[in-house]
Amino acid sequence: MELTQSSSVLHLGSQSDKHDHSYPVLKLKNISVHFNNTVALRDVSFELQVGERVAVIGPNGAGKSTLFNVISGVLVPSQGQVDIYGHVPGEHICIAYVSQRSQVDWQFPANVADVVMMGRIGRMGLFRWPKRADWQVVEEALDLVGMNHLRQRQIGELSGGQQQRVFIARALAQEAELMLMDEPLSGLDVKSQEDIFAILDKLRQRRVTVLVATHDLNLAAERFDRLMLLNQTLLGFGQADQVFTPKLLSQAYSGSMRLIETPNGTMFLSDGHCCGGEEHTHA
Amino acid sequence: MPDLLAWLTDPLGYTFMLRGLAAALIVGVVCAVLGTYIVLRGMAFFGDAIAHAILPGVAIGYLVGGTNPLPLLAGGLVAGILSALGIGAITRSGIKEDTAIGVIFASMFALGIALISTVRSYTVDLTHFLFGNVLGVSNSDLWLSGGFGALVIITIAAFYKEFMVISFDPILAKTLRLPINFLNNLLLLLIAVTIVLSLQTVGVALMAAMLVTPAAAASLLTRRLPMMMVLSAIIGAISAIAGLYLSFYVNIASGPAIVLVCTSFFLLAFLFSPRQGLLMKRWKLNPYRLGQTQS
Ligand SMILES: Nc1ncnc2c1ncn2[C@@H]1O[C@H](COP(=O)(O)OP(=O)(O)OP(=O)(O)O)[C@@H](O)[C@H]1O
Ligand SMILES: [Mg+2]
Repeated sequence: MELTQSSSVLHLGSQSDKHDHSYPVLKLKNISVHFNNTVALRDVSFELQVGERVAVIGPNGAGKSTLFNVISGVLVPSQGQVDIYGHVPGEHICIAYVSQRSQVDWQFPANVADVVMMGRIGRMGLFRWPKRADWQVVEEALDLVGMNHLRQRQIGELSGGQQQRVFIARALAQEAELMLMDEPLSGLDVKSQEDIFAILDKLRQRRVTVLVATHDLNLAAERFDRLMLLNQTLLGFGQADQVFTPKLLSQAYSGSMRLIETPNGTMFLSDGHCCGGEEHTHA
Repeated sequence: MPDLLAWLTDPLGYTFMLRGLAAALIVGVVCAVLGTYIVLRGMAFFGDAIAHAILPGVAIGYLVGGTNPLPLLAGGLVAGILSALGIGAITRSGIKEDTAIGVIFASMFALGIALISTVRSYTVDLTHFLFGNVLGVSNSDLWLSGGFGALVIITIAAFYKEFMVISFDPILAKTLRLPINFLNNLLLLLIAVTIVLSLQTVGVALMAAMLVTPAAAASLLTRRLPMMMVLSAIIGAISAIAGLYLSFYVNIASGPAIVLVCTSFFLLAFLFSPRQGLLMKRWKLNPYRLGQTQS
């Protein structure tokens, strides 16, 4: 890793020159996933362009987490192909994944900085220890998510929102070009959500492509470049007005969604399947 | 003062004591360092089971080559690895892991005892395998333990970060494309090798204590992994040496003496650790003290 030239040590997406830009950043072809006798995903195909911010929406059990598991290489799809810059995921380390329920050992003897440093171990070799440059990247990632003041804190002694931000910092420290975030907004108060969007804005400046799963349809419509509506199959993928049509939404949420047409044509939506215990009624 | 010095140096006049101390030190340190991962991954029962399950292999090695260390080592290693694979295979068929461990562990142990019982000097040999015979360590034993111990420590140093990540967050391990199966199998291999090289010092019945207790004590004293390994190694080393002196002067069996010293370290940490110690918690919660700090 060359860490010179720019004032920032954190070169997010800096190795894009190693990739072939005639390809999209991510390309899924006819992905299907079966678990024993349930179908989680059926024939999903799409492409993402470099630097896009895409919201993935759909009811509980729609296959959002499954989709992220497939893209990150955690899960092998039953059918279909995932291309990342034209490579298969197994040969690639430029993806970071902030999973929905981090199944980590919260009692593990590691503090916040140690956990963020784990994002960099793919870049070190055997017998190698973190160098000054690595610690600098970790510090910058923690600064970016506003967690540097807690870097000595034991990982189990953080609030849920703080834990979430540590895992985002770890994804930043990975210097990934594609970042998958599974419901990073749920369970957070409005201020913490805005903090996350501030981080997403910085990622956009660095041309990092971001996929975010969320149940907040308003935020999805307002704050993302494109929306991906999922319920086993890919129902719609495009701008909010293309995706939030009564037809597609009732296909996705089949009855559990209330659509209210008002005189000025605005539509009020409610994702009845919400997560994190909050009722989302934007009426 | 001179008395204390003599007390310390007297045992060193015996070659068997010197060799025993060296062997115990190697075992104490290697078990304690590897034990850090065993404790973090919740593999204590697994470690105990593999320790017992090497017995049939050791028995066959013994029937073939007597006290020659190489067949003992090879037999124990093969039995340990086969048991680990067996546990993995049974678990994959849908049976809970601790059940699989229970089945394999008891049956292999029974097979080992059955094999040893065919020898005439049955009880003496069995006692040595079960509880160790550190004062009977030969020069070649010592070289073998030293060599294999160094191999285990070097492997842990090489894969320290990788073992840490697969223990803490398997999903990150997958997205970083770490060779997870390889690393898990390597860890199992290290456990088997460590158990076999510790056979003569503590024996199979007490092995779990060496693998788990120093790391458990260390986990009460620090919240960082590298420090936990260092403290664990120090506790393992001191326990090994202090235990052997205890056995020399109080005239108790050496394996249990080492384990008991180790356990006292754990108890001390349990009671007095600044963060998690039982007494410190009591003291912090003491209403009188709270009243004082508030006023
Ligand atoms: N490991 C698994 N084994 C069996 N079925 C699974 C497994 N993981 C997911 N599924 C099933 O696959 C489907 C999709 O699940 P997934 O977790 O991807 O949904 P999701 O869109 O992330 O839902 P949520 O909004 O609740 O997070 C569900 O029907 C679920 O029951
Ligand atoms: Mg999900």
